[in-house]
Amino acid sequence: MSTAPDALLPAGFMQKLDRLRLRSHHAHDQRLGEHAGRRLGHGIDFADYREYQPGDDFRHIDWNIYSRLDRLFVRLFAQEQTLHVDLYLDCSASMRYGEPDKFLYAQRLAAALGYIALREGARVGVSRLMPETPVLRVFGRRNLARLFAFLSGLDAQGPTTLAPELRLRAAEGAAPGLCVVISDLLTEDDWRTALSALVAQRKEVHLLHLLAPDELKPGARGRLALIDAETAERFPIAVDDMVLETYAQVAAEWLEEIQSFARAQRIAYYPLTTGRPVEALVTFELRRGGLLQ
Amino acid sequence: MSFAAPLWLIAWAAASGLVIWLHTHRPEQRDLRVPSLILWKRAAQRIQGDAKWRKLISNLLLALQLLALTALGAVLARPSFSFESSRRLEIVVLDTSASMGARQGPNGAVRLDAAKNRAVQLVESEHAPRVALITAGAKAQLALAPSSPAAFKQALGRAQSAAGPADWSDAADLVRTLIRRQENTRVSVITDGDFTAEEIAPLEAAAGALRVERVGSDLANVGLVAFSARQSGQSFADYQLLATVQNFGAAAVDVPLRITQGEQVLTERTLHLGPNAKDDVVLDYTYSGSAVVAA
Repeated sequence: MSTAPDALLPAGFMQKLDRLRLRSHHAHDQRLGEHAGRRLGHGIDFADYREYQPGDDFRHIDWNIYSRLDRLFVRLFAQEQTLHVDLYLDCSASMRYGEPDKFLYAQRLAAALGYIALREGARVGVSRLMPETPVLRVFGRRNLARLFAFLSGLDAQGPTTLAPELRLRAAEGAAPGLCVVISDLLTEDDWRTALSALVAQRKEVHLLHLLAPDELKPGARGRLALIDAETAERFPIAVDDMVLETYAQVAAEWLEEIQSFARAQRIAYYPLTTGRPVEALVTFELRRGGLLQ
Repeated sequence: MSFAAPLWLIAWAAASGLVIWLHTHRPEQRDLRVPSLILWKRAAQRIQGDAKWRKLISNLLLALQLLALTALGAVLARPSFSFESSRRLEIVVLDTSASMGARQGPNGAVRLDAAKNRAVQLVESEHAPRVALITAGAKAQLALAPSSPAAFKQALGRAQSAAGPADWSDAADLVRTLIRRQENTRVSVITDGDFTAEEIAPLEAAAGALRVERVGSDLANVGLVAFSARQSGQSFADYQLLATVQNFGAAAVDVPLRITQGEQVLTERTLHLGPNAKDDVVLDYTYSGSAVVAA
């Protein structure tokens, strides 16, 4: 099931996105780009002076200062750097849950972040966290339509395979950049180690944990045969108030445990629910968490 | 045990059945698609340890609910417990009129003694836990207030026949008084007499169902109601004997009368007595030494 590109980002929402920027702390490569990084180098915008050191380019020596102070200083320029933004989407069947479903939220979040990133001249990669699926890599505003078309064409089905895909991306050893993982994390695989590997690759990892409200506090009661959306496994259980209370407690502890892991790994963690509009998540939650400014 | 509102028992049975059904009924399982079973399995694992306690609590709840329902049903059905066997009272009305002192049969047994024996048999055969005794002579008396069979036997032993007919109306008043205090009673009359329907009517009205036990033979209800001697004339040896014979029956009878002194028959005649009539026989008698005169 695909989503119409127009449905991803309505025009009004795009206008709000135009006022937002990515806030990357260190994850730039040295290729020229439009994103003004902190690295000083061969740009055109003057940034600062530094005392001459052997090996510096003579052309950057400021002779006027030398005539006044009798000391050699070189001019430094801000280097325009290219920002890499990798968007990882969990495309497992569990994401097709909720009303509206989590996967639509994931698509819209990815579209919003991709839109901002392309507008800023960043290189954007979109990966489905599924084995042997193509990765979309786009650069420049002219590829916005391609990005939207790619996201719209995605579908969520099958089991969750976060860990192997994230490990693969980490092993590719690409340039430092922003990594945004959008997932419900409803999997038993070792995604924590994989995220740690990304952090080790000098990636700035942002974990967008997307859940439906009734996944944290379900309301169904009675004799139920719960059917796993990914594995179709049946799990009979008699659900009463006590079971629901225990479930809510388990879910809260699970979130707390993920948050502790993220804090320890210096991963920015965003617990998001589909109970709020995507616009609110982007303009408020992602700004508050430091991904946008 | 009886119930004033037995319909509530049906309601109680239905409600109890419903409660048991609700506790034991397992509703049909419903399929529910969830994104993942991970958290559900963790929750189920955590509550598994409490499963035994939950089952126990559930059973306790069932027991408490059934107990409460039973109490409610018992209250609404308004049960009443009757201790009929211990409260049952046998009222024996013993005829102690003059005729009960008559002897009869080849052994010359007194009717009153036969009546007492019959009364004892009656009480023992009925297994009545409490017995009252009314003696119906010329004036009816409560010889024994409701008491044990042993006390009844003692009271029965003290009963004696007296001159005059039985006052059934007086006895009926006593019976009515006893019945008013007691719900489950039975009245038995032990008598030799034949009496008119009018005479016994008050007693029947008081007792409701009246059982009449007759003692004595089919002979007419006739008795020697007076037999005495008095000195007469100048001589100490001259005496007059007076014998009064009364017919207590409703029909006229011919009664043989014989007065003897030892082996000697002083007189022997037949008296014709009308209904409830009596006749006096006066006989001159000369005392000739110690002797027993009998009539």
